[in-house]
Amino acid sequence: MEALFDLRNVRKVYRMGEERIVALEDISITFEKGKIYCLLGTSGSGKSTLLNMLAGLEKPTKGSIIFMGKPLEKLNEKQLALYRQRYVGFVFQSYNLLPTLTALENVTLPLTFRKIKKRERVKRARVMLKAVGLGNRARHKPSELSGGQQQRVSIARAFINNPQVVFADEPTGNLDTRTTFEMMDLIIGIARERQQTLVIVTHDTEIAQYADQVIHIRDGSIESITERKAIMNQSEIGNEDENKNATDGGNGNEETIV
Amino acid sequence: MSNFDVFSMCLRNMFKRKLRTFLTILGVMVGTAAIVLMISLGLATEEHHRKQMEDAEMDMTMIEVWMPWVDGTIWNPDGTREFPEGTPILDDDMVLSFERISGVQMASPIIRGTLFFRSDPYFMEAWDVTGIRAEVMQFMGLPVAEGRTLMPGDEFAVVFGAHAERGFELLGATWPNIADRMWMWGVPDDQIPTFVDVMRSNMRLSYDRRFIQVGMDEPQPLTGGIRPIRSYNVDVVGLLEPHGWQYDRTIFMDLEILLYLNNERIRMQNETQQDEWQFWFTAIRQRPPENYENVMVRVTDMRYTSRVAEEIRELGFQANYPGMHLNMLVAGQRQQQQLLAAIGAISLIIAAIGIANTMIMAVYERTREIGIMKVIGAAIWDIRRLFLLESAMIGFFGGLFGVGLSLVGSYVLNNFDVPFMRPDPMLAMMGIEVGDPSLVTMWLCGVALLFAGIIGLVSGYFPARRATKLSALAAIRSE
Repeated sequence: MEALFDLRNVRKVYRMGEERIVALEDISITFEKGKIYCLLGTSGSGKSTLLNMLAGLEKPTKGSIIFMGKPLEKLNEKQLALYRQRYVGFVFQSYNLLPTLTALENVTLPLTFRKIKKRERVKRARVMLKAVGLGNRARHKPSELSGGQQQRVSIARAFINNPQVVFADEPTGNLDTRTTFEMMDLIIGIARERQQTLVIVTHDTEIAQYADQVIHIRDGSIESITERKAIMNQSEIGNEDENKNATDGGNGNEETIV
Repeated sequence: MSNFDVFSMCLRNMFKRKLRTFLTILGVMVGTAAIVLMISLGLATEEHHRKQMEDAEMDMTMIEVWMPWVDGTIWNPDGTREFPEGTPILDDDMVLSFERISGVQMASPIIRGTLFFRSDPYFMEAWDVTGIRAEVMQFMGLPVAEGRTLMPGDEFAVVFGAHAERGFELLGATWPNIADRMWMWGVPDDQIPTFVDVMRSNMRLSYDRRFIQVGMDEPQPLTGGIRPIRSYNVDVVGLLEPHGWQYDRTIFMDLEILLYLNNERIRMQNETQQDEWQFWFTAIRQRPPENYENVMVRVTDMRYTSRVAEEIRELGFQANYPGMHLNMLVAGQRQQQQLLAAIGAISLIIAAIGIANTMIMAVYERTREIGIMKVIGAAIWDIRRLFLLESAMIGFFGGLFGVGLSLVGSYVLNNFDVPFMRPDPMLAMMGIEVGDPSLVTMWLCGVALLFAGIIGLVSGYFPARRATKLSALAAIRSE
């Protein structure tokens, strides 16, 4: 499989006055194209920090994040904007739709930034909205939609660009259980159908079950990496045997898992 | 983002905060209207002034420069003057330095002299011959009844003022001649008989009085010198229409030729004196004057007239131009209006601060939106354009409505009796007509619109920069 992200000894330290808080400690891991990943950990474990760095919103203190052969940390503000525009989709916990725009316009926004013609934009957005089950809600403002519907719009927006990777940061954190599963089925379905890489950040082990590979993060380091098959067989075989410690490296370690 | 997308998003943002946008636009509108109205008062005065000048057919591009009156000037018996040390002298160098003042098209001395004309059997002692450069005469725009004005290259060619030809007398008549006598009696110029059709007669002239003293009983004391009488053939190339007493009895000819003739007369008189009276009258030695009395300066546009005149006055000369008193009046009004315009400018500055305030509020309010847009791929340039366009549009619409308001205000000022706009009763007493108080030109509207838009852009610059500098991550987390 082709590598999408290649993290090499990534370390992130926050400075709060005198105090230094280590958010991530020496992470080395590879994300492959077309796979679904889950960063699983408690709050404060560093999983969101890792996601932000992959999305180019933060820079590592040390180490390197290689995206398709290019180090992300070396890009300037303009190039990062371009990177997010071309290769990245985002689903947030709090939906983050623009309140002044209709559902359709929110979905087209990434295409707007790419200067795609309006007719083309709307055509693609309608297809996307239909795919998330909101074909008849295109003209509604976010304030006129329920939480689940807003998240559907947000999902449509994340995928409309055919990005290389979609990041979902606690995508179901604000939703009830029933909607949560609907939403996860939706995201996973679209990602599988389009063979897109998906990185989900969550603290919910139930959601983690949707992923091909679960990366357990604890106190800023990778505790273990679990393959999907392993999760499915968890009850039969037992957790300890299948989980491997991944702190010593990315690539080589994964191969041993597979 | 394409320009249209930025535009439509801007409109949406403005409509979302209708009241705030409206109030900010209102501020710009009042500011623009204030400054446009204040400037319109000035424009009206200027325009009215210009029209008055045109109606009066005053050539405001001509400045007459004269030697100043200086205390301690010594008048020599021969008519020349000696000025105290440091007095500016109106000589050829000075004329050249007038020409170097910016806005001056040309400067040329004007001299006067007395010449003797003969068109047998008539003669004339013309004591108002003006030596002038042909170009200057053309610029003076004197109306021609017949023929033409002087042209460059003319030598012994003259142009007669409307009534100058009425000075001819029968040879042998004694002074004062008929025409002079009739003038003294107050007979209107056009009732004085003319003896000579100047355009169609042979005519000669001379600097020498003996030339016309044919058949006189007593020879004049200064005549009978060694020099023979010299006279020159002269062409009358033009006759002017009546154009005021300054011109009607004048005969115009080329400056250089008149200078030459004047100097010849002085030389002749010196020879005579040396010959006959040297032993008891040596003190009087006439010499050609070293300076001119009068220089005409023409400026390229009447806007420069008062400034150029002022600069010439600073060199120490008297400088007058037609309509000078009107100009001074206008200068006074202009000062008042500048004060008013300053007040207008202050209100526009306050409006600009209003725009900046609104935009900063908008940035705070939309911090989260800015973050979202950045995360899903908005370029810095997109964000900046969103805010700059919004502030520019506030400025532009404020300017647009402001111009509209000022048009209404201008109409009210011009058509209704507004108490504090009543003209100064002094003006009416001085016989000066007062026009409409306000004039809003297309040009003023355009500049006001452009200016309001630019003010919007400038006021939006720092808020927009603030928006682009926001960290996407921090922005998206803010509530």
